Amino acid sequence: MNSLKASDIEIVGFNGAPLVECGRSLPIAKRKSDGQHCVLDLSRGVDTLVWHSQEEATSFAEARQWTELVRSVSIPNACVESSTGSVITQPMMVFENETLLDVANRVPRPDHHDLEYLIWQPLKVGDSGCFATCASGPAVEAILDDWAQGLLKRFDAMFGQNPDRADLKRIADFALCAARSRELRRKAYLRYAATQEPDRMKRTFDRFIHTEFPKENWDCFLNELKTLRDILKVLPITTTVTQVDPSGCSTRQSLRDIANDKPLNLVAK
Amino acid sequence: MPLLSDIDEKALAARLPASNAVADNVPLVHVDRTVIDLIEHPPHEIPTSAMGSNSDNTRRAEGLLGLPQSAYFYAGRAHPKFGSTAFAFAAGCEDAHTGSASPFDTGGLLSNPPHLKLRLNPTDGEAERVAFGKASMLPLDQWRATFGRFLAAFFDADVDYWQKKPSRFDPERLFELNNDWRAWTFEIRFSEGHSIHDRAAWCADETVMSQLRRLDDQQPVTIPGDPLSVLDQFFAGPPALEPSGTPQFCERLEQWVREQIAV
Repeated sequence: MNSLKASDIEIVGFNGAPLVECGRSLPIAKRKSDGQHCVLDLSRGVDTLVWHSQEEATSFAEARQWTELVRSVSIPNACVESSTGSVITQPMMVFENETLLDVANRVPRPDHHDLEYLIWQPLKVGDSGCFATCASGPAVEAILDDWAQGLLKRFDAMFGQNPDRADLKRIADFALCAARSRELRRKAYLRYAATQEPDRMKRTFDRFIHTEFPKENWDCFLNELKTLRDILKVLPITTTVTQVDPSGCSTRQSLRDIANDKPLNLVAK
Repeated sequence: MPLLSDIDEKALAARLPASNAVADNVPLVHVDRTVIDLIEHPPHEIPTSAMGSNSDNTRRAEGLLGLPQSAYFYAGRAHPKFGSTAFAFAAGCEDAHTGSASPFDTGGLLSNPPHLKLRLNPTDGEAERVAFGKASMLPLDQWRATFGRFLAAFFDADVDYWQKKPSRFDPERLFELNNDWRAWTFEIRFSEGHSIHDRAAWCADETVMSQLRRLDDQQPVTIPGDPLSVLDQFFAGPPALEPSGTPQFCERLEQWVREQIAV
């Protein structure tokens, strides 16, 4: 079996497009020695990677099948075997939108996770306000879960203040985009359901929650939802809601903006 | 010489029954940019190249080979470069269609410059590639029989179709000169679109699943007895293989394909 040398590889983007405010995707790797590109999916081994020419790569980016970084980044050391320099574990891309990080109270972006340094790069697609970095799969999951925790904390802090339901729903929606662990996803779904119109709640349960959590029962879910609402209403109001971020744009303003904005998938074409 | 005209009959006799069983049942796979586009826009079908997001190379190959604008599928394989949602359609879905098949990716054969390498006489220029592409074309109702023979003759085990290069080389050296599985994956073409509601399985990345949840939340509640919306119809079908999505949605769909045909 061939190996993939990290020194011959640079990460130039990710598969797909940033159609929601944060997420993860497979990296697009470029081989420095011959300029060939591939979707870096190591699940079937290095020998099965399909390499594409620069012309193909450009056409994929133009068709928004791939998203390019403004500047390439290196394969994270955590994915490389130090003795051979070979890429041995799956690297992953994580992308984010500044508004989401602001609402999650996670500005500035992390520059490391454990011992992995994170080099964030803006995306080439228009004025998206999105950045992405490459890290090991576990690090990317941890980063996304950390953002989800920040968003859930924000949600809980705001709930008792009787805010606009649309504000709360967008925060829960952001949390669902970010959350990767089952525990956080279930928490995010509970809060998302708590902000929905009652008529839609059962449909969301049937189509999304129950498919992700097949043992979840509607009656139990409903009871838990009622309990959560009661608890959140009596929680003391925290001060984080009025925190001002370093960019000078207040979180409260950001929340107003995201509630008024259409979701990304409706405007990004 | 058309690809697969040089099969060693003795070599394949022992493996042919098992390979035919795989060929008869292998689902057809299509990867599209996102399922949201297909749900939001009529006619809610895997589109032909007249309407879809196919590349200029696809349309170029169609023109050179004299093919109608087609909807494209691979026999059991999914490639993430085509998009963020992978669909599988059960064997037999081709019965209601007109179309054709090829034992390789025609876009790769005739792209400019060509992605697939091979040796033809006197050169491997465009005229020879077009002649080779036309000679290798298979009728839609016969591709599974040829696919069975191909698996038996060129692979030591049927599962190798998903994991390795063919273990025997072909006269045009297509399998020898390429590491890209599009050189040995059967391409199936329908001259008409194919409904997304007929899918047997599907899988998408996490972004698509978030978009789908948002789309669902914007839909009005369906009143009992009223006609189902397109989204209602979609959700009435098979659920996603990974409900929260996965970046490795193609690998997950291929895993499902292999489970269906027990390889």
